[in-house]
Amino acid sequence: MQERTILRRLLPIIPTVALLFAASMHAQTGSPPFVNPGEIPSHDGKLQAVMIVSDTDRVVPNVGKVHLRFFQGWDAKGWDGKQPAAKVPANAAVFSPGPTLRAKVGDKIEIMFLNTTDDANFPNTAAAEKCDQAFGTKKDANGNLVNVQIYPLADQYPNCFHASSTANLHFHGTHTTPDALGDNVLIEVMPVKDTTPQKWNAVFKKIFAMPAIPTKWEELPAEYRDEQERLLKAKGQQYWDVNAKQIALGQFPQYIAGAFPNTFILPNCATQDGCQYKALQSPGTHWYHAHKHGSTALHSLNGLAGAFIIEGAYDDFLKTFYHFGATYAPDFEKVIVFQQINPEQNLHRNIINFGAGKAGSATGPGPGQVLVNGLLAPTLTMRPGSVQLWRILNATPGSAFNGGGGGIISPSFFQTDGFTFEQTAKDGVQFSQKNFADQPFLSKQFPNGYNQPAGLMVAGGNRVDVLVKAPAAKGTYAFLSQGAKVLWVKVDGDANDMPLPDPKKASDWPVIPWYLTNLQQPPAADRPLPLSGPYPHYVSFGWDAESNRAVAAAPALPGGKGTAGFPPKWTIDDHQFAEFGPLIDQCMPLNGLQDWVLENHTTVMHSFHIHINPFQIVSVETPVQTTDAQGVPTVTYKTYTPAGDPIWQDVVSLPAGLAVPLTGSPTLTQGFAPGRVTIRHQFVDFTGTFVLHCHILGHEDRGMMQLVRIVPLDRYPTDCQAAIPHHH
Amino acid sequence: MLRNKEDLLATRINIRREGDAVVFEPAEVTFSGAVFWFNGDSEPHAPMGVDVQPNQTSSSVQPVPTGSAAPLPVPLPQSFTYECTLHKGESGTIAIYNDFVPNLSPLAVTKPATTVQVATGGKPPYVIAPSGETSVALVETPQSITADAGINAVLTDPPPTITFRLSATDALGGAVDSDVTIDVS
Repeated sequence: MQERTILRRLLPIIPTVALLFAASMHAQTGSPPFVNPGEIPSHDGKLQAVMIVSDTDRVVPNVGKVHLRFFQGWDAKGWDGKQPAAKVPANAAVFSPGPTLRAKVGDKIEIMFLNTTDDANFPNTAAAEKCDQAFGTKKDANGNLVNVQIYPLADQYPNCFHASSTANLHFHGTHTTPDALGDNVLIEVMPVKDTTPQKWNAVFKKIFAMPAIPTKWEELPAEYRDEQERLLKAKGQQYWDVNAKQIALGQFPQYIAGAFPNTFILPNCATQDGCQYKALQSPGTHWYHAHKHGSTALHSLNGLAGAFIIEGAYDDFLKTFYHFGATYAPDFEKVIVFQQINPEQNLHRNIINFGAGKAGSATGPGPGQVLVNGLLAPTLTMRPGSVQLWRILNATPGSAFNGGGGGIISPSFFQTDGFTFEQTAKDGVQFSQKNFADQPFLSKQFPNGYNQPAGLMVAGGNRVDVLVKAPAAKGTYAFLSQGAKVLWVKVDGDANDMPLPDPKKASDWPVIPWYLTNLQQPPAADRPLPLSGPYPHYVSFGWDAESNRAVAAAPALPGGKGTAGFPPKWTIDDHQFAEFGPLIDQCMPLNGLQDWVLENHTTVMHSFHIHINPFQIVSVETPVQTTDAQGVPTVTYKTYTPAGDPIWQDVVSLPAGLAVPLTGSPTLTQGFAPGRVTIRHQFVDFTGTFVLHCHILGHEDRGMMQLVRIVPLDRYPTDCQAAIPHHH
Repeated sequence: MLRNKEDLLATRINIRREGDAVVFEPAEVTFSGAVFWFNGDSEPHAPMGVDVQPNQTSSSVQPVPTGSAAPLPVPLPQSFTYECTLHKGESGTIAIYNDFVPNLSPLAVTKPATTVQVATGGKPPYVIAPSGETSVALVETPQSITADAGINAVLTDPPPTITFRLSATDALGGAVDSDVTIDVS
């Protein structure tokens, strides 16, 4: 084995082939060194950055050069708008996540976001208000190979894959305004191939220097608005017509050409007394990604995501505990971004298998290899006994294939022999002292919702912070997810025995901040629409039977309703996003405090995500099939309720529902028990319109999304359905 | 594991005007591959009946050899001509190759034969990394009436079972990287 390894290293072969030697079977010998993604930090209270989405050939491990969209940016602090800047990542030709953004609570975010994608390089990219089309091949009844349309089939606009040339930035985990220049995912930044940051620098500086962040289109400088109108009309009058209607209604326009200023504050106060906010930005591991409905999955598969680390008291505690001073010690903090790469959306290509028996021709691209910071099974080095903070982000589309897909990071990753793990945060929110002591995920108390063994799991969109202590014994250790070795840790060098905080010692973990104390039982007055509806409020994730969908491996629907068809039509509350025209699906009064019961009426997994405000998990109910004393099949629920403090999250996995045989019913042969998660959340500080959706991004693109609105109490419910943004 | 990039990437075909003529650039893809068109002309076109507006790209299409229907198994590689359904006389060509894939292990060879095909398809020439085993030489398989292009393992004094790594790329950029086991009897 050793001889073969050396021989390989000496071979004069092309780079693509050289990359292939990093294959998993010999991963530790061909494994590249782990590196954190490049960073763009804030300075003096401001995160000033240029972020560009563009496209180029990128070398992807195990594949070779693939033409992909990508994020690249730079620190704009002191940038004069003329000189070439030091780009992050420096080399776009090698696949990597977008730059890690690092800010502090209280910082102002000032990002010049540009879309310079050349949409001539991708099929089906136009920002047309129609579904993508794709044509594939199949064997007909006569045994001939024929061309057929394979997409969109029964998918209907806007709940289909479409318009992938447009993009925007979702700052996942931020507590900020969802409107205007904030965490606004209802805009579509269309590509302007030849535009440059230099062109926009002066007007963006003007925007960022305004004493109050603009909240209306009219408040932006005329030169920006006029240039947008000119560029959009050049692309097509229809785009500006949509914008003009929205602007007339007092809304922000949907279409933006080439350049958009994302600017907002990360709320913070020194003390609760006199604080203008009811909740502050939680310091922790957050992230950003493109969030164009119809393209979120494809953009994720192109790698359009990166970490967004927001530092605060949580970090101060860790730095003090380890005597680091003002900054983390080198080699302590590891940013681990899991991604899956595929230049083409699923459902756009037929999988051809005519029985040729050749490996590779019978398998589709899924579940897809999982990369770590763009690397295939890299090797991270730790000294014996040392401790590192791993900030883990699952930026895959989250496909789970009933628990077996690569889109979720399985509990096995955190069960590697010899290592000690202490989870410190979930979804960018630190644990309370009680939860730090209890470790509800690592101790297997919290059900993971997916068909995975018990333990800490990272679903698509989830973040996990863990302190990891290396064993004393030197060696190379494999970290597995879904049975694949996704990371190697080499324990080597001089011993450096570092302590872990003692979970049983209150002084070893900080008290949770005032704005993250437990939400109390909501009062009846804080109810969502419909005002007369049942309470708690139910949100139902489902699918519809449709006979015109091509049925292949179609899952059975409950209650004898037939099959879901394939691909299924994903719904929330029995309809798809905007299926019946403009509609605010969930409307809440500002400061409303509500319990929602999220039910999964399908037999596959889903992940609930809502923007702007995190939520606490009140209970998780997983249906389990059993038999009663008479031997008749029945269902019971395995219910989790927090032993201590409900955990804060912004993505939660919904256990699959369970179809169960019924006996004694005159009409039904099958009953159904939905999976169920109850959350408690409060809608504070920011009014506006945003979304909730399944964070399995293909589900989101294809309908599993709702529009959400928070309105001032004195305008509730009057304004709930007023002036709904056009967003397709 | 991802598939070969040639199977993942839709190949772009440029449409451009040269004088009075409209040119559809020739393309090469694998059987599982797909194409799309970028219309650099000022008029709409419909190659293979797929609409593509000026300065836009079309939908993606997995082309069928011969352009409409082909009896299976399809003899590959082959080149076929397609037409624009909007403009008579406008046409282009697409060459389709077999997918570049390893043959399933374990493979078998019975002496005195010493050669076994370990990968097929793709477009020659191949860039082949040595096997790392002194008893295995990897060489290009010439295309013939009975054999697809590919890669042969030529064995010299092999043990009863031999395992090695096959790493190669073809001229379309497709890659094969897999362990190969050959039982020798």
